[in-house]
Amino acid sequence: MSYFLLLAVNGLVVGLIYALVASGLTLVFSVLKVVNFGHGSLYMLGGYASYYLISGLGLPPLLGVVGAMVTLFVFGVVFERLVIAPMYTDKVERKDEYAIIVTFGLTILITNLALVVFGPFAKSPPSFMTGALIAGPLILPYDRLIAAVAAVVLLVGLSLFLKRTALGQALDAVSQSRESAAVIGIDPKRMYTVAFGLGSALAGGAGALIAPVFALSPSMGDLPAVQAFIIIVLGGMGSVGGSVAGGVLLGLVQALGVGYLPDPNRALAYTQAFGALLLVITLLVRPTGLFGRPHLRLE
Amino acid sequence: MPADPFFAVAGLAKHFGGIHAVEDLSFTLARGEILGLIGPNGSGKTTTINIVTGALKPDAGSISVEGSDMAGQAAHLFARRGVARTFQVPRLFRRMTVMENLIVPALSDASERRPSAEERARGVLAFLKLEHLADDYARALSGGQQKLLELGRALMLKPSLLLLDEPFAGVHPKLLEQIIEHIRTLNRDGHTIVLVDHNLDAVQSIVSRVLVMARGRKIADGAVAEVLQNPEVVRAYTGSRAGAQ
Repeated sequence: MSYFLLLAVNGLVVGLIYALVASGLTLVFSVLKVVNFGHGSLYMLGGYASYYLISGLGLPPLLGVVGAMVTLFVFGVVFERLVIAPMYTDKVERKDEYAIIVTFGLTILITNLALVVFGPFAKSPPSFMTGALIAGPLILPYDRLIAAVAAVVLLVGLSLFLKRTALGQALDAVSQSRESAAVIGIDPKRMYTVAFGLGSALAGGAGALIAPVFALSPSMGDLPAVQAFIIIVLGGMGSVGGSVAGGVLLGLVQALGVGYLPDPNRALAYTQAFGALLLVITLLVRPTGLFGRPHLRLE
Repeated sequence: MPADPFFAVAGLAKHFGGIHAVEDLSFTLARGEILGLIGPNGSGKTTTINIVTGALKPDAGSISVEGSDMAGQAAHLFARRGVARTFQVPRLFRRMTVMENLIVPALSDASERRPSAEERARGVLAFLKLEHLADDYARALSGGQQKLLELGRALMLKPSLLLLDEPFAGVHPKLLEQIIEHIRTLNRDGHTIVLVDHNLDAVQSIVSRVLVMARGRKIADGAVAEVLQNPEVVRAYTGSRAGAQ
Protein backbone atom coordinates (compact mmCIF):
# COMPACT_ATOMS: atom_id res chain seq x y z
CA MET A 1 0.00 0.00 0.00
CA SER A 2 2.80 2.41 0.90
CA TYR A 3 4.50 1.64 -2.42
CA PHE A 4 1.23 2.34 -4.24
CA LEU A 5 0.83 5.63 -2.36
CA LEU A 6 4.36 6.69 -3.21
CA LEU A 7 3.84 5.95 -6.90
CA ALA A 8 0.44 7.63 -6.93
CA VAL A 9 1.69 10.83 -5.30
CA ASN A 10 4.62 11.07 -7.71
CA GLY A 11 2.27 10.36 -10.61
CA LEU A 12 -0.04 13.10 -9.37
CA VAL A 13 2.81 15.64 -9.17
CA VAL A 14 4.01 14.90 -12.70
CA GLY A 15 0.40 14.77 -13.92
CA LEU A 16 -0.31 18.26 -12.59
CA ILE A 17 2.69 19.63 -14.46
CA TYR A 18 1.49 17.83 -17.60
CA ALA A 19 -1.94 19.38 -17.02
CA LEU A 20 -0.42 22.85 -16.84
CA VAL A 21 1.40 22.36 -20.14
CA ALA A 22 -1.70 20.87 -21.77
CA SER A 23 -3.97 23.68 -20.51
CA GLY A 24 -1.83 26.23 -22.33
CA LEU A 25 -1.98 24.17 -25.49
CA THR A 26 -5.76 23.81 -25.14
CA LEU A 27 -6.22 27.53 -24.58
CA VAL A 28 -4.36 28.34 -27.80
CA PHE A 29 -6.15 25.61 -29.73
CA SER A 30 -9.63 26.60 -28.53
CA VAL A 31 -9.31 30.30 -29.23
CA LEU A 32 -7.04 30.43 -32.28
CA LYS A 33 -7.91 26.99 -33.72
CA VAL A 34 -4.15 26.57 -34.11
CA VAL A 35 -2.24 23.51 -32.92
CA ASN A 36 0.94 24.97 -31.51
CA PHE A 37 3.67 22.47 -32.32
CA GLY A 38 6.13 24.84 -30.67
CA HIS A 39 4.55 24.50 -27.23
CA GLY A 40 7.34 22.28 -25.90
CA SER A 41 9.98 24.85 -26.75
CA LEU A 42 8.04 27.44 -24.71
CA TYR A 43 8.12 25.01 -21.77
CA MET A 44 11.90 24.74 -22.18
CA LEU A 45 12.28 28.53 -22.45
CA GLY A 46 10.32 28.93 -19.22
CA GLY A 47 12.78 26.64 -17.44
CA TYR A 48 15.78 28.58 -18.67
CA ALA A 49 14.10 31.95 -18.02
CA SER A 50 13.58 31.04 -14.38
CA TYR A 51 17.16 29.69 -14.15
CA TYR A 52 18.66 32.97 -15.38
CA LEU A 53 16.26 35.13 -13.36
CA ILE A 54 17.21 33.24 -10.21
CA SER A 55 20.94 32.86 -10.84
CA GLY A 56 21.46 36.14 -12.74
CA LEU A 57 19.15 38.58 -10.95
CA GLY A 58 19.14 36.76 -7.64
CA LEU A 59 15.35 36.40 -7.49
CA PRO A 60 13.89 33.93 -4.98
CA PRO A 61 13.02 30.67 -6.82
CA LEU A 62 9.23 31.13 -6.72
CA LEU A 63 9.56 34.71 -7.97
CA GLY A 64 11.75 33.26 -10.70
CA VAL A 65 8.76 31.15 -11.78
CA VAL A 66 6.54 34.23 -11.88
CA GLY A 67 9.22 36.10 -13.82
CA ALA A 68 9.50 33.22 -16.28
CA MET A 69 5.74 33.29 -16.85
CA VAL A 70 5.78 37.04 -17.48
CA THR A 71 8.74 36.64 -19.86
CA LEU A 72 6.99 33.87 -21.76
CA PHE A 73 3.74 35.85 -21.89
CA VAL A 74 5.59 38.72 -23.55
CA PHE A 75 7.39 36.29 -25.87
CA GLY A 76 4.06 34.67 -26.81
CA VAL A 77 2.41 38.03 -27.50
CA VAL A 78 5.28 39.17 -29.72
CA PHE A 79 5.45 35.83 -31.56
CA GLU A 80 1.69 35.83 -32.16
CA ARG A 81 1.68 39.41 -33.45
CA LEU A 82 4.69 38.93 -35.73
CA VAL A 83 4.30 35.36 -36.94
CA ILE A 84 0.79 34.03 -36.32
CA ALA A 85 -1.18 37.22 -37.05
CA PRO A 86 -0.54 37.25 -40.82
CA MET A 87 -2.62 34.07 -40.90
CA TYR A 88 -5.79 36.11 -40.26
CA THR A 89 -5.21 38.31 -43.28
CA ASP A 90 -5.65 37.66 -46.97
CA LYS A 91 -1.85 37.45 -47.32
CA VAL A 92 -1.92 33.79 -46.28
CA GLU A 93 -4.00 31.48 -48.45
CA ARG A 94 -3.38 28.09 -46.82
CA LYS A 95 -3.89 29.06 -43.21
CA ASP A 96 -3.81 25.61 -41.60
CA GLU A 97 -0.58 24.66 -43.33
CA TYR A 98 0.90 28.05 -42.44
CA ALA A 99 0.15 27.50 -38.74
CA ILE A 100 1.74 24.05 -38.78
CA ILE A 101 4.88 25.29 -40.51
CA VAL A 102 5.46 28.36 -38.35
CA THR A 103 4.88 26.54 -35.05
CA PHE A 104 7.13 23.65 -36.11
CA GLY A 105 9.62 26.29 -37.21
CA LEU A 106 9.39 27.84 -33.76
CA THR A 107 10.43 24.55 -32.16
CA ILE A 108 13.35 23.99 -34.52
CA LEU A 109 14.56 27.58 -34.21
CA ILE A 110 14.28 27.86 -30.44
CA THR A 111 15.70 24.42 -29.66
CA ASN A 112 18.75 25.06 -31.83
CA LEU A 113 19.17 28.60 -30.56
CA ALA A 114 19.00 27.22 -27.01
CA LEU A 115 21.82 24.82 -27.83
CA VAL A 116 23.97 27.75 -28.89
CA VAL A 117 22.93 30.22 -26.21
CA PHE A 118 22.42 27.97 -23.16
CA GLY A 119 24.85 25.22 -24.14
CA PRO A 120 24.23 21.49 -24.44
CA PHE A 121 24.95 20.62 -20.82
CA ALA A 122 22.26 20.24 -18.20
CA LYS A 123 21.64 23.11 -15.81
CA SER A 124 19.74 23.03 -12.58
CA PRO A 125 18.28 26.05 -10.77
CA PRO A 126 18.31 26.07 -6.96
CA SER A 127 15.60 24.21 -5.07
CA PHE A 128 12.41 25.93 -3.98
CA MET A 129 13.08 24.30 -0.62
CA THR A 130 15.56 21.59 0.33
CA GLY A 131 14.45 18.45 2.10
CA ALA A 132 11.37 16.31 1.83
CA LEU A 133 7.99 15.87 3.39
CA ILE A 134 7.94 12.59 5.28
CA ALA A 135 4.54 11.28 6.27
CA GLY A 136 4.63 7.65 7.27
CA PRO A 137 5.78 5.67 4.27
CA LEU A 138 5.43 8.68 1.98
CA ILE A 139 8.55 10.66 1.12
CA LEU A 140 7.95 13.64 -1.11
CA PRO A 141 10.74 16.13 -1.87
CA TYR A 142 9.61 19.70 -1.20
CA ASP A 143 10.51 20.72 -4.77
CA ARG A 144 7.92 18.28 -6.10
CA LEU A 145 5.35 19.26 -3.50
CA ILE A 146 5.78 22.97 -4.22
CA ALA A 147 5.65 22.36 -7.98
CA ALA A 148 2.38 20.42 -7.54
CA VAL A 149 0.80 23.02 -5.26
CA ALA A 150 1.84 25.86 -7.58
CA ALA A 151 0.41 23.94 -10.55
CA VAL A 152 -2.91 23.54 -8.72
CA VAL A 153 -2.94 27.25 -7.86
CA LEU A 154 -2.28 28.16 -11.50
CA LEU A 155 -4.93 25.76 -12.83
CA VAL A 156 -7.57 26.99 -10.36
CA GLY A 157 -6.58 30.58 -11.20
CA LEU A 158 -6.95 29.86 -14.90
CA SER A 159 -10.36 28.32 -14.37
CA LEU A 160 -11.57 31.29 -12.27
CA PHE A 161 -10.11 33.73 -14.80
CA LEU A 162 -12.01 32.07 -17.65
CA LYS A 163 -15.31 31.91 -15.77
CA ARG A 164 -15.35 35.06 -13.67
CA THR A 165 -13.57 37.83 -15.56
CA ALA A 166 -14.68 39.86 -18.56
CA LEU A 167 -11.49 38.99 -20.43
CA GLY A 168 -11.86 35.28 -19.64
CA GLN A 169 -15.46 35.27 -20.82
CA ALA A 170 -14.44 37.13 -23.96
CA LEU A 171 -11.86 34.40 -24.65
CA ASP A 172 -14.58 31.81 -24.06
CA ALA A 173 -16.91 33.67 -26.42
CA VAL A 174 -14.28 33.70 -29.19
CA SER A 175 -13.58 30.01 -28.61
CA GLN A 176 -17.27 29.26 -29.18
CA SER A 177 -17.87 31.56 -32.16
CA ARG A 178 -15.48 34.23 -33.33
CA GLU A 179 -18.16 35.72 -35.60
CA SER A 180 -20.69 36.05 -32.77
CA ALA A 181 -18.01 37.47 -30.51
CA ALA A 182 -17.14 40.12 -33.09
CA VAL A 183 -20.75 41.29 -33.50
CA ILE A 184 -20.99 41.97 -29.77
CA GLY A 185 -17.90 44.17 -29.77
CA ILE A 186 -15.13 41.70 -28.92
CA ASP A 187 -12.02 42.02 -31.08
CA PRO A 188 -11.16 38.39 -31.95
CA LYS A 189 -7.60 39.29 -33.00
CA ARG A 190 -6.90 40.80 -29.60
CA MET A 191 -8.20 37.62 -27.99
CA TYR A 192 -5.89 35.53 -30.18
CA THR A 193 -2.94 37.52 -28.89
CA VAL A 194 -4.06 37.23 -25.27
CA ALA A 195 -4.69 33.47 -25.62
CA PHE A 196 -1.30 32.83 -27.22
CA GLY A 197 0.42 34.91 -24.54
CA LEU A 198 -1.41 33.06 -21.76
CA GLY A 199 -0.76 29.67 -23.34
CA SER A 200 2.94 30.50 -23.58
CA ALA A 201 2.99 31.70 -19.96
CA LEU A 202 1.40 28.45 -18.78
CA ALA A 203 3.94 26.37 -20.70
CA GLY A 204 6.76 28.54 -19.35
CA GLY A 205 5.40 28.28 -15.81
CA ALA A 206 5.34 24.49 -16.05
CA GLY A 207 8.93 24.44 -17.31
CA ALA A 208 10.01 26.76 -14.51
CA LEU A 209 8.23 24.68 -11.85
CA ILE A 210 9.77 21.44 -13.01
CA ALA A 211 13.25 22.96 -13.44
CA PRO A 212 14.46 22.25 -9.87
CA VAL A 213 13.09 18.68 -10.12
CA PHE A 214 14.57 17.67 -13.45
CA ALA A 215 17.62 19.22 -15.09
CA LEU A 216 17.28 21.83 -17.82
CA SER A 217 18.34 20.99 -21.35
CA PRO A 218 17.49 22.38 -24.80
CA SER A 219 15.51 19.27 -25.66
CA MET A 220 13.58 19.10 -22.37
CA GLY A 221 10.37 20.33 -24.03
CA ASP A 222 10.11 17.52 -26.57
CA LEU A 223 8.55 14.93 -24.30
CA PRO A 224 6.12 17.23 -22.42
CA ALA A 225 4.89 18.53 -25.78
CA VAL A 226 4.06 14.99 -26.91
CA GLN A 227 2.41 14.31 -23.54
CA ALA A 228 0.40 17.51 -23.89
CA PHE A 229 -0.93 16.39 -27.26
CA ILE A 230 -1.90 13.03 -25.76
CA ILE A 231 -3.60 14.83 -22.87
CA ILE A 232 -5.69 17.22 -24.93
CA VAL A 233 -6.93 14.35 -27.07
CA LEU A 234 -7.46 12.25 -23.94
CA GLY A 235 -9.33 15.01 -22.09
CA GLY A 236 -11.40 16.08 -25.06
CA MET A 237 -9.99 18.77 -27.31
CA GLY A 238 -10.82 22.30 -26.26
CA SER A 239 -11.64 21.58 -22.63
CA VAL A 240 -9.31 23.00 -19.97
CA GLY A 241 -11.05 20.83 -17.35
CA GLY A 242 -10.49 17.83 -19.60
CA SER A 243 -6.81 18.74 -19.88
CA VAL A 244 -6.46 18.75 -16.11
CA ALA A 245 -8.21 15.39 -15.78
CA GLY A 246 -6.24 13.98 -18.70
CA GLY A 247 -2.93 15.23 -17.31
CA VAL A 248 -3.51 13.78 -13.86
CA LEU A 249 -4.74 10.49 -15.31
CA LEU A 250 -1.73 10.21 -17.62
CA GLY A 251 0.69 10.97 -14.77
CA LEU A 252 -0.93 8.35 -12.55
CA VAL A 253 -1.09 5.66 -15.23
CA GLN A 254 2.54 6.20 -16.19
CA ALA A 255 3.79 6.19 -12.59
CA LEU A 256 1.77 3.14 -11.56
CA GLY A 257 2.46 1.30 -14.80
CA VAL A 258 6.21 1.79 -14.49
CA GLY A 259 6.16 1.00 -10.77
CA TYR A 260 4.35 -2.28 -11.14
CA LEU A 261 6.04 -3.56 -14.30
CA PRO A 262 7.56 -6.92 -13.38
CA ASP A 263 10.97 -6.12 -14.90
CA PRO A 264 12.27 -3.04 -13.00
CA ASN A 265 15.36 -2.80 -15.24
CA ARG A 266 13.24 -2.02 -18.29
CA ALA A 267 10.32 -0.35 -16.59
CA LEU A 268 11.26 3.27 -17.33
CA ALA A 269 11.62 2.51 -21.03
CA TYR A 270 7.90 1.74 -21.13
CA THR A 271 6.75 5.07 -19.65
CA GLN A 272 5.55 6.45 -22.98
CA ALA A 273 3.97 3.14 -23.93
CA PHE A 274 1.57 3.43 -20.99
CA GLY A 275 0.50 6.87 -22.19
CA ALA A 276 -0.09 5.58 -25.69
CA LEU A 277 -2.03 2.59 -24.39
CA LEU A 278 -4.22 4.83 -22.24
CA LEU A 279 -4.92 7.04 -25.26
CA VAL A 280 -5.83 4.11 -27.50
CA ILE A 281 -8.18 2.57 -24.92
CA THR A 282 -9.84 5.93 -24.18
CA LEU A 283 -10.42 6.68 -27.85
CA LEU A 284 -11.83 3.20 -28.44
CA VAL A 285 -14.34 3.70 -25.64
CA ARG A 286 -14.95 7.45 -26.04
CA PRO A 287 -13.82 8.75 -29.44
CA THR A 288 -14.36 12.39 -28.36
CA GLY A 289 -12.06 11.96 -25.33
CA LEU A 290 -13.07 11.99 -21.67
CA PHE A 291 -14.84 15.36 -21.75
CA GLY A 292 -15.00 15.94 -25.48
CA ARG A 293 -18.01 17.29 -27.32
CA PRO A 294 -18.80 17.69 -30.98
CA HIS A 295 -17.65 21.31 -30.89
CA LEU A 296 -14.97 23.13 -28.97
CA ARG A 297 -15.06 25.60 -26.14
CA LEU A 298 -13.16 26.67 -23.10
CA GLU A 299 -14.32 25.36 -19.75
CA MET B 1 -33.47 61.66 -48.33
CA PRO B 2 -32.92 63.32 -44.93
CA ALA B 3 -30.45 66.22 -45.09
CA ASP B 4 -28.20 64.64 -42.48
CA PRO B 5 -29.06 60.93 -42.36
CA PHE B 6 -28.26 58.92 -39.28
CA PHE B 7 -27.21 55.96 -41.41
CA ALA B 8 -26.33 56.10 -45.11
CA VAL B 9 -25.12 53.56 -47.62
CA ALA B 10 -23.92 54.75 -51.02
CA GLY B 11 -22.76 52.81 -54.07
CA LEU B 12 -22.26 49.61 -52.10
CA ALA B 13 -20.97 46.65 -54.10
CA LYS B 14 -19.81 43.14 -53.31
CA HIS B 15 -18.76 40.53 -55.84
CA PHE B 16 -17.94 36.88 -55.26
CA GLY B 17 -16.00 35.88 -58.36
CA GLY B 18 -18.37 36.65 -61.22
CA ILE B 19 -21.44 36.90 -59.01
CA HIS B 20 -22.61 40.42 -58.21
CA ALA B 21 -24.12 39.78 -54.79
CA VAL B 22 -24.68 43.49 -54.17
CA GLU B 23 -24.41 46.16 -56.85
CA ASP B 24 -24.60 49.92 -56.52
CA LEU B 25 -26.85 49.87 -53.47
CA SER B 26 -27.71 53.18 -51.83
CA PHE B 27 -30.18 54.07 -49.10
CA THR B 28 -30.45 56.21 -46.02
CA LEU B 29 -32.13 55.90 -42.66
CA ALA B 30 -33.34 58.65 -40.40
CA ARG B 31 -32.89 58.21 -36.67
CA GLY B 32 -35.78 56.21 -35.23
CA GLU B 33 -36.90 54.92 -38.62
CA ILE B 34 -37.81 51.30 -39.27
CA LEU B 35 -37.10 49.88 -42.72
CA GLY B 36 -38.15 46.55 -44.18
CA LEU B 37 -35.47 45.07 -46.45
CA ILE B 38 -37.13 42.46 -48.61
CA GLY B 39 -36.53 40.54 -51.79
CA PRO B 40 -36.59 37.02 -53.17
CA ASN B 41 -34.01 34.43 -52.16
CA GLY B 42 -30.52 35.31 -53.37
CA SER B 43 -31.36 38.97 -53.84
CA GLY B 44 -28.46 40.12 -51.63
CA LYS B 45 -30.27 41.05 -48.41
CA THR B 46 -28.10 39.06 -46.03
CA THR B 47 -24.94 40.03 -47.91
CA THR B 48 -25.99 43.65 -47.40
CA ILE B 49 -26.49 43.05 -43.67
CA ASN B 50 -23.10 41.34 -43.52
CA ILE B 51 -21.41 44.30 -45.21
CA VAL B 52 -23.04 47.02 -43.13
CA THR B 53 -22.11 45.21 -39.91
CA GLY B 54 -18.48 44.59 -40.88
CA ALA B 55 -18.69 40.82 -41.40
CA LEU B 56 -17.83 41.35 -45.08
CA LYS B 57 -15.72 44.06 -46.65
CA PRO B 58 -17.40 45.86 -49.56
CA ASP B 59 -15.65 46.05 -52.93
CA ALA B 60 -16.96 49.58 -53.35
CA GLY B 61 -19.15 52.12 -51.64
CA SER B 62 -19.44 53.93 -48.36
CA ILE B 63 -21.26 53.21 -45.09
CA SER B 64 -21.85 56.22 -42.94
CA VAL B 65 -22.91 55.87 -39.30
CA GLU B 66 -23.73 59.25 -37.76
CA GLY B 67 -21.42 60.91 -40.25
CA SER B 68 -18.41 58.56 -39.90
CA ASP B 69 -17.46 56.36 -42.83
CA MET B 70 -17.19 52.81 -41.52
CA ALA B 71 -16.87 50.91 -44.82
CA GLY B 72 -14.40 48.05 -44.55
CA GLN B 73 -13.98 48.29 -40.79
CA ALA B 74 -14.05 45.18 -38.59
CA ALA B 75 -17.31 43.84 -37.14
CA HIS B 76 -16.41 44.62 -33.53
CA LEU B 77 -15.92 48.29 -34.43
CA PHE B 78 -19.42 48.44 -35.93
CA ALA B 79 -20.75 46.86 -32.73
CA ARG B 80 -18.91 49.39 -30.58
CA ARG B 81 -20.40 52.12 -32.76
CA GLY B 82 -23.86 50.87 -31.82
CA VAL B 83 -24.63 48.78 -34.92
CA ALA B 84 -26.04 45.50 -33.63
CA ARG B 85 -27.41 42.55 -35.54
CA THR B 86 -29.04 39.18 -35.28
CA PHE B 87 -28.55 36.20 -37.61
CA GLN B 88 -30.98 34.12 -39.69
CA VAL B 89 -29.99 31.11 -37.60
CA PRO B 90 -29.20 32.33 -34.07
CA ARG B 91 -25.50 32.22 -33.27
CA LEU B 92 -25.52 32.21 -29.52
CA PHE B 93 -22.82 31.11 -27.14
CA ARG B 94 -24.49 27.77 -26.76
CA ARG B 95 -22.50 26.60 -23.77
CA MET B 96 -23.10 29.76 -21.81
CA THR B 97 -26.26 30.38 -19.83
CA VAL B 98 -28.90 32.83 -21.02
CA MET B 99 -27.65 35.35 -18.45
CA GLU B 100 -24.02 34.92 -19.52
CA ASN B 101 -25.00 35.44 -23.15
CA LEU B 102 -26.35 38.84 -22.16
CA ILE B 103 -23.55 39.86 -19.83
CA VAL B 104 -20.64 39.13 -22.18
CA PRO B 105 -21.58 41.85 -24.72
CA ALA B 106 -22.06 44.38 -21.94
CA LEU B 107 -18.64 43.60 -20.50
CA SER B 108 -16.99 43.98 -23.89
CA ASP B 109 -17.38 47.69 -23.10
CA ALA B 110 -14.57 48.22 -20.58
CA SER B 111 -16.45 51.04 -18.88
CA GLU B 112 -19.31 48.79 -17.75
CA ARG B 113 -19.02 46.89 -14.45
CA ARG B 114 -20.55 43.47 -13.83
CA PRO B 115 -23.30 44.59 -11.36
CA SER B 116 -24.59 47.14 -13.83
CA ALA B 117 -24.38 44.60 -16.68
CA GLU B 118 -26.34 42.08 -14.61
CA GLU B 119 -29.00 44.64 -13.78
CA ARG B 120 -29.40 45.59 -17.44
CA ALA B 121 -29.47 41.91 -18.40
CA ARG B 122 -32.29 41.30 -15.94
CA GLY B 123 -34.16 44.23 -17.50
CA VAL B 124 -33.72 42.79 -20.98
CA LEU B 125 -34.85 39.36 -19.79
CA ALA B 126 -37.97 40.93 -18.27
CA PHE B 127 -38.66 42.82 -21.51
CA LEU B 128 -38.33 39.62 -23.53
CA LYS B 129 -40.22 37.57 -20.91
CA LEU B 130 -37.30 35.18 -20.55
CA GLU B 131 -36.58 35.70 -16.83
CA HIS B 132 -37.47 32.11 -15.99
CA LEU B 133 -34.74 30.88 -18.37
CA ALA B 134 -31.90 33.03 -17.00
CA ASP B 135 -29.86 30.10 -15.70
CA ASP B 136 -30.58 27.71 -18.57
CA TYR B 137 -27.94 27.01 -21.18
CA ALA B 138 -28.60 28.74 -24.49
CA ARG B 139 -28.45 25.42 -26.30
CA ALA B 140 -31.48 24.21 -24.34
CA LEU B 141 -33.79 26.96 -25.66
CA SER B 142 -36.32 26.50 -28.45
CA GLY B 143 -35.63 28.12 -31.82
CA GLY B 144 -37.95 31.05 -31.07
CA GLN B 145 -36.48 31.58 -27.62
CA GLN B 146 -33.00 31.57 -29.16
CA LYS B 147 -34.14 34.32 -31.55
CA LEU B 148 -35.42 36.33 -28.59
CA LEU B 149 -32.18 35.81 -26.70
CA GLU B 150 -30.16 36.91 -29.70
CA LEU B 151 -32.31 40.04 -29.88
CA GLY B 152 -31.61 40.55 -26.18
CA ARG B 153 -27.88 40.11 -26.74
CA ALA B 154 -28.02 42.81 -29.42
CA LEU B 155 -29.95 45.11 -27.04
CA MET B 156 -27.21 44.74 -24.43
CA LEU B 157 -24.97 46.72 -26.80
CA LYS B 158 -27.30 49.74 -26.33
CA PRO B 159 -27.58 49.85 -30.13
CA SER B 160 -28.42 52.92 -32.12
CA LEU B 161 -29.13 50.71 -35.16
CA LEU B 162 -30.57 47.19 -35.01
CA LEU B 163 -30.38 44.91 -38.03
CA LEU B 164 -32.64 41.90 -37.66
CA ASP B 165 -32.02 39.13 -40.18
CA GLU B 166 -35.15 36.99 -40.56
CA PRO B 167 -36.37 37.24 -36.97
CA PHE B 168 -39.65 35.47 -37.86
CA ALA B 169 -38.21 32.49 -39.75
CA GLY B 170 -39.11 29.15 -38.19
CA VAL B 171 -40.76 30.75 -35.16
CA HIS B 172 -43.94 29.39 -33.57
CA PRO B 173 -46.94 31.66 -34.42
CA LYS B 174 -47.49 32.48 -30.75
CA LEU B 175 -43.88 33.60 -30.34
CA LEU B 176 -44.07 35.41 -33.69
CA GLU B 177 -46.68 37.80 -32.26
CA GLN B 178 -44.42 38.38 -29.28
CA ILE B 179 -41.40 39.18 -31.48
CA ILE B 180 -43.48 41.55 -33.62
CA GLU B 181 -44.62 43.36 -30.50
CA HIS B 182 -41.05 43.59 -29.18
CA ILE B 183 -39.86 45.12 -32.46
CA ARG B 184 -42.72 47.65 -32.40
CA THR B 185 -41.88 48.57 -28.81
CA LEU B 186 -38.18 48.97 -29.59
CA ASN B 187 -39.00 51.23 -32.52
CA ARG B 188 -41.42 53.27 -30.41
CA ASP B 189 -38.60 53.65 -27.89
CA GLY B 190 -36.48 55.30 -30.59
CA HIS B 191 -34.41 52.41 -31.97
CA THR B 192 -33.59 52.60 -35.65
CA ILE B 193 -34.28 49.18 -37.15
CA VAL B 194 -33.67 47.35 -40.41
CA LEU B 195 -35.85 44.29 -40.67
CA VAL B 196 -35.08 41.55 -43.19
CA ASP B 197 -37.65 38.81 -43.58
CA HIS B 198 -39.63 36.77 -46.08
CA ASN B 199 -42.80 37.00 -44.03
CA LEU B 200 -44.33 39.95 -45.87
CA ASP B 201 -47.43 40.02 -43.68
CA ALA B 202 -45.30 40.35 -40.56
CA VAL B 203 -43.02 42.94 -42.17
CA GLN B 204 -45.96 45.00 -43.42
CA SER B 205 -47.51 44.98 -39.98
CA ILE B 206 -44.45 46.72 -38.54
CA VAL B 207 -42.82 48.94 -41.15
CA SER B 208 -44.10 51.80 -43.21
CA ARG B 209 -41.19 51.81 -45.67
CA VAL B 210 -39.66 48.92 -47.57
CA LEU B 211 -36.60 48.58 -49.76
CA VAL B 212 -36.79 45.76 -52.27
CA MET B 213 -33.71 44.05 -53.68
CA ALA B 214 -33.43 41.65 -56.61
CA ARG B 215 -30.23 40.16 -58.05
CA GLY B 216 -28.13 42.38 -55.79
CA ARG B 217 -29.75 45.65 -56.83
CA LYS B 218 -32.30 47.95 -55.27
CA ILE B 219 -35.43 47.83 -57.40
CA ALA B 220 -37.80 49.82 -55.21
CA ASP B 221 -37.78 51.91 -52.05
CA GLY B 222 -40.80 53.60 -50.54
CA ALA B 223 -44.13 53.22 -48.81
CA VAL B 224 -45.19 49.59 -48.41
CA ALA B 225 -48.51 49.75 -50.28
CA GLU B 226 -46.96 51.63 -53.16
CA VAL B 227 -43.88 49.43 -53.48
CA LEU B 228 -45.82 46.17 -53.41
CA GLN B 229 -47.82 47.36 -56.42
CA ASN B 230 -44.63 48.15 -58.33
CA PRO B 231 -44.57 45.90 -61.44
CA GLU B 232 -40.81 45.31 -61.12
CA VAL B 233 -41.28 44.11 -57.55
CA VAL B 234 -44.10 41.82 -58.61
CA ARG B 235 -41.91 40.43 -61.41
CA ALA B 236 -39.03 39.85 -58.99
CA TYR B 237 -41.27 37.86 -56.68
CA THR B 238 -43.39 35.98 -59.20
CA GLY B 239 -41.05 35.82 -62.15
CA SER B 240 -43.99 36.93 -64.29
CA ARG B 241 -45.57 40.14 -65.53
CA ALA B 242 -48.74 39.49 -63.55
CA GLY B 243 -50.07 42.33 -61.42
CA ALA B 244 -49.87 42.38 -57.68
CA GLN B 245 -52.33 40.07 -55.96
